[in-house]
Amino acid sequence: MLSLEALSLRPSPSTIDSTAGIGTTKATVGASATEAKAGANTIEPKAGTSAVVSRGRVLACDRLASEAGVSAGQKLSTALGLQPGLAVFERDALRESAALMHLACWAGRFTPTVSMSPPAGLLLEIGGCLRLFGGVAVIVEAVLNGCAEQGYSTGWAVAPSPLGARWLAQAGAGDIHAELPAMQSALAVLPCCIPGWPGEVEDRLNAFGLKRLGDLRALPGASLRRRIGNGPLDDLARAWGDFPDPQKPFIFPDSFACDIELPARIEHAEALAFVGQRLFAALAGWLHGRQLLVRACTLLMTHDDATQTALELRFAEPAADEGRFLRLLREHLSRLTLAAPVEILRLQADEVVNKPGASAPLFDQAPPGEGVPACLERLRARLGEAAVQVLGQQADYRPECATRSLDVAPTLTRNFAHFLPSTAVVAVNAACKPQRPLWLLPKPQVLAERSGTPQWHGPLKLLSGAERLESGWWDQGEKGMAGDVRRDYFVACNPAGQWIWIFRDADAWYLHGLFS
Amino acid sequence: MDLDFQGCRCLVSAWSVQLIMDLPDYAEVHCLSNFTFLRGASHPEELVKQAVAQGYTALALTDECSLAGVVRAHLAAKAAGLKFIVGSEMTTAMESTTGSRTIESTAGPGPINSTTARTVNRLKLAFLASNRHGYGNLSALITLARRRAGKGEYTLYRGDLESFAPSGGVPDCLVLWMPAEMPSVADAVWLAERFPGRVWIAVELHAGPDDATRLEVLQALSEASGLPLLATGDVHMHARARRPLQDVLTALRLKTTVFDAGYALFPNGERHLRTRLRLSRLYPPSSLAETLKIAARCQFSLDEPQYIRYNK
Repeated sequence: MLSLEALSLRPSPSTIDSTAGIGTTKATVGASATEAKAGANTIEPKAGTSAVVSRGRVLACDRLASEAGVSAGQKLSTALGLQPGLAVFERDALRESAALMHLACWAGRFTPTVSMSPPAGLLLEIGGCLRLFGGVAVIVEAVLNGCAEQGYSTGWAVAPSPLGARWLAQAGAGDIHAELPAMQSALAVLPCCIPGWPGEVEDRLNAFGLKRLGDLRALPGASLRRRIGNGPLDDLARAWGDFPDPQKPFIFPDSFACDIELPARIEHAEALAFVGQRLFAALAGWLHGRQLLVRACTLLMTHDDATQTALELRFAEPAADEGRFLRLLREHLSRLTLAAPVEILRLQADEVVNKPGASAPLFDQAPPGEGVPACLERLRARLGEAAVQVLGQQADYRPECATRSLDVAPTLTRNFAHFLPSTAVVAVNAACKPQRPLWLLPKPQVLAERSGTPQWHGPLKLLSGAERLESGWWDQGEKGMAGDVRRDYFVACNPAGQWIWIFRDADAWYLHGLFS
Repeated sequence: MDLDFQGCRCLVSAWSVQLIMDLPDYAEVHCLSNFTFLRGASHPEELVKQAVAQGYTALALTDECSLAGVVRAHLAAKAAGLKFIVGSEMTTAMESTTGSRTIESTAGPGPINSTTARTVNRLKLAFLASNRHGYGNLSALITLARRRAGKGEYTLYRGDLESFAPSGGVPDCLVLWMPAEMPSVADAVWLAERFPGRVWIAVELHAGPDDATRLEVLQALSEASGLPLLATGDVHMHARARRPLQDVLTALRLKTTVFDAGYALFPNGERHLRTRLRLSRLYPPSSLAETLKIAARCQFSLDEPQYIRYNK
């Protein structure tokens, strides 16, 4: 599992006109969980510096403030002393969770498996998407760029276990650990405060002189459990990848409506485009996650005098492309004059349609529109007309004769899907659907027999009554034909639980096919 | 050495005798001869000879809508001392659900208009004459069905089997029902009402892909309808060796070749007069015992009809 983590509470270098609550998003992307923890940026009026505080202490501040010496954990009075013009925002848990949900929606474009790790983490399972995106580094870059564009600062990590990725991201590692050993050695040097265990556990670990997670792992588990309880050690085992750690997936909501409260009143319509970007990014992610296209959506602006302006965006054809949304939004905003400054922006999807299903080509180098027929054409051109054939059904009781190779030509003139079963073959009686194995051996294989029981990796147990097949006397002795066949077929099972298809003829037992 | 060899043979023969003694008795009551054109592959005499060799209690000849082979079989059975049963297999025609069929008055007597005909399933049945009257009624039914169709064909409607039809529900005949792959309980109930106490569900197991399931289906049908299960062989040839001939006949009937006949052929040669040992392994004992009850109830012999001789 790879995790990409973005650490919250770090101001992003870009200054933005609007602010959102602090949210950290942890993104698991791809084959493994990638945890990305994105700290929502606190945004200041352009002139000054800003910080988010909670209970009189600074939680996060922007770059200018930190250059002045403000840092997380400081008392507010100290921070104000260092930076007298500091704009202070009280932490708002509701806005943080809303921001995290927007970000989770947005992350739907990278992977279908997103899980939230509150208060400020997003885990993206990226193991399954590596090929699609072209590697871990590409996904990480896209996630980080996307977070930055929306004004979130991120701490991130990619690791094989979700918890490992989360801890590494919290520590601000910003590394890709694709393999377990690499992640484990990175985890081992993390301080014991990273997991956020209860205070008494941390105190006790301090008293033991255990500073790093690696120290805990080095100690005998049983006695450590007696002293600090099971929770921390189970966490360690999950982070190290010893225990499975399934994550609760983020369920993309049924309908999309999301709003942003603007920290500063915005008086120019064009300036709304930037905030709108964040909303439309979330919409695009949500559409991707639910495999939908939007036909119409509404941007609702609430002014400071409590009046509302609705801007309806209608697309000529259903779309899910963020760039297209933004271009249309800018067109509309450029012609819009705001009656009053805007306080709240709300975006809702009004009309959505299901995305039409399309199969990706098997051969990804094939340009669109070129499928099996084109491939067959090329193969025939290279190998010769007779060298390329397809399998068709043949009405014959003998299993080895029940299929035959057919000329591929009809496939080129017709849709490939219509080709099988071939019209050239005698119509198969619908009632005749006996159980047949998926895998038929090219030649029956003689089975050993011990005290009357056939053997194949152990004695075989017959699971069905005999199916007697006697057919084919007409091509007896002809070259390459199965000839007269007289067999009793059975479904059998060996001690390993493998189901096979065997038969007995006048001479011996034979293995003829494999069910599983 | 000689002694040892002798002892061995003695043991083997004693064991065989024991085996034969334990074999269940059996009467084959669903059997076609080559008088069923392009289906049956053996002469009636061959069938009788083979039935005697297998130690069957009785043999019925049930050629399709025909009694043409029964005299030969009767003579052969009489000579061999085998009990012989006269019968015929017939399949009812497809009917519409409207209940009012068109009456083909030109071809013969019209079918009886049945107001209760609501199902359209074809019924494959065999009738066995239990006495002299049954023989007459069966002959009448065959005549009715044959006159309705062109040469070589026949048409039997369900309505012909109603008690108010001229054939009158074919009294004094025992009826075997060969259910389709997905039999309907309604058909079973319909038959049980028409032929109370004289209709059986024929179980025909030929080592197919899933005989066990087939048997379960028929057992469920039997429980639902109260009809007893009866073991029959759907015999098309007297011995397995006739399989190539039977395949050729099938291909000829379908106007094709054995190469192209495909699944229209039988998958194996089980439709012959099988040994009682094999039957005892395939069929439930009760269904085998039921054949003997049928054989006991069929007391008609072709020696019975005495035609008036006209003296010059």
